[in-house]
Amino acid sequence: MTDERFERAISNLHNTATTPPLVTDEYLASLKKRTRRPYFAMGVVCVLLITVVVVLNRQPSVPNITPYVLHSPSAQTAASALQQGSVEHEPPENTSVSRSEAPQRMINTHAFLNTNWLPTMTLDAGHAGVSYLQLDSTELQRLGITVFRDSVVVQTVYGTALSATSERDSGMYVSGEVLHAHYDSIIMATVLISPTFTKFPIRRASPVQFERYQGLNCIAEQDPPLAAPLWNTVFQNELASSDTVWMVRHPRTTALMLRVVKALSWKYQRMTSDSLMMLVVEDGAVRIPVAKLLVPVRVATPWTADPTDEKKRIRYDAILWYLPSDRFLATLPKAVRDFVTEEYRAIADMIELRLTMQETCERLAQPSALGLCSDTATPLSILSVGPIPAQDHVNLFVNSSVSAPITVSFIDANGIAHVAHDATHVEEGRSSIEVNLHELALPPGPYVILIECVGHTISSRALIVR
Amino acid sequence: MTPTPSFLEAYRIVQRDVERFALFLCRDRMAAADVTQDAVLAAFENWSRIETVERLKSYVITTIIRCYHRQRRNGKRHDELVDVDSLLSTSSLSAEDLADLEIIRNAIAVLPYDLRVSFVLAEVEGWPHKNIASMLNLSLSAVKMRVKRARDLLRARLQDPSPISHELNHDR
Repeated sequence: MTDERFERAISNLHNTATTPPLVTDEYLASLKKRTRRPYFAMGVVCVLLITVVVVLNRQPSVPNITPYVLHSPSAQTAASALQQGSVEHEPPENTSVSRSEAPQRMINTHAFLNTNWLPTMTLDAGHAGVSYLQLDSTELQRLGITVFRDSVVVQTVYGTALSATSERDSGMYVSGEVLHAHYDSIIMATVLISPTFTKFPIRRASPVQFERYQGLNCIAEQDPPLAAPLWNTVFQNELASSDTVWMVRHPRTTALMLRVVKALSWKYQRMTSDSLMMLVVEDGAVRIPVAKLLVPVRVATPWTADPTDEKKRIRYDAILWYLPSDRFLATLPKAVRDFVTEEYRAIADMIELRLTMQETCERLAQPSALGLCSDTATPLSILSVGPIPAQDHVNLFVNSSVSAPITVSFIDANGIAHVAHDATHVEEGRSSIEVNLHELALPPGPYVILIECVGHTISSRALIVR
Repeated sequence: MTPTPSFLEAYRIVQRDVERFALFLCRDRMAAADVTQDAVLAAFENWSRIETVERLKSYVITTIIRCYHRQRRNGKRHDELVDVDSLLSTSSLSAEDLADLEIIRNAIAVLPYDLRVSFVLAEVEGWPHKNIASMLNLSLSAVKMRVKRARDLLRARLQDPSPISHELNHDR
């Protein structure tokens, strides 16, 4: 082809057209309708949103995070349980309950739950049935938690102390009392400042959204108008942070956790953190308790006098919830780290690989430290326990699919297991197992009952011996 | 004062040019239709600000490029497709000219993306190099170089009108 023909061909290209046209007459005619649709749709969406807000205000439930079905027929409702505070008042001395039983109040809160879902940890023969991690003061400090006699200071995800956001007070907490930065593990945090034990709302304490700001990836607080000036955790590179390493490795798990935190932050700004134990998050067909998704750590102050009433003694007692990130796990004492790491890896695998509960259980060393596999496909279920409080004996009403030997243990508040030697067998079908408490010589206090049957561990609600 | 034409009137004027550009850009009729329709809808919604035919053409072509890039990012575009057969001449040409037109049309379609966009905008659509540089966020010399390289490649291709291979079909 000569240059002349080449130029002529290019020139002729200008007279070409797509045949038939890419944009048809029908499409052009529908343009007006198309542009009207968004406005109509926006109207519909607004009406729906208003409806949803009205409905949600009537029913305190979070989408995708459903309250527990409570186990005990005499128990309070989930909604009222959510209103409970974790600042507990010690019972007066003149009641029949001794002072040593005071901690039972917190245990009682959990006793109303379906205990099949409670994270029953099995550390070793001497420690079992603990619903949370109980760390000493040095170990807590490694997590950025400082427990004083009348206050608790918790580091937040931002590396500075949590904003004091009570109605009476505002502004940052005194930074001089912050021990060290603790960036990425705390999902929720509570700061308590003496002397009134006022609980601060948990809002603004969670990394609920990621934003781009000045070309950097930032963790932003959830309140958009306030977000920009409060961004103070910046990732130069998404993969560089110790936090995001875990997130990249377990993206679906992280998304699920953040969804829980986000929903809780928005809906339950005043919910006590230990009430999270009552919530379940649904991921596909698997229902995962929040208590098995995040790591619960108990933080409690010593008993002290109530400044508003000298006759009363009060303490702060709460469960803080952590993302089981590598950094968090590395901070834990070795004995604790060893047993929770495998559990949370299995949970993350279950979510990432969409495993069934049975497949997850096969990956775990039995019994599951967190009782993860005690709630499905078990041959035995505990129907009820009574009487409560128990004195001489206690009856366990169970339903078993097999006739098999069992081991019944009572776990006290310190995690010590007391094995009942008179209950060693269960019959198929519904039956009652009576345990003589005199033989066990249990001191008064709250207990969690564990039944081991054919390799499965089933936990019951708390039992109070008087 | 010239009255502002209606959107449909204005689009009829530029329709042939923008659709031809979209087809050369996407090299697939379905993909080209997608991006063009998106661009037309966006232009229609912003017609009160665009107002003139020239600005409409510029706006639609810019939006087509943007939509095309977005599709590439989302992985919706199929690079292996080269389909510009529906690009036909609207005027009566000799058999020889029609054959040349088909050869050059197919040769442009397999040019690399960078060269193809610059060449089509400059040589087929007749846009000034300065405007192309601004639209593509390039320097003026870069645009001139790309147009020249495209012409050289096309000439070389047309000297040897063997069946077109896809060796040049590597987009950015």
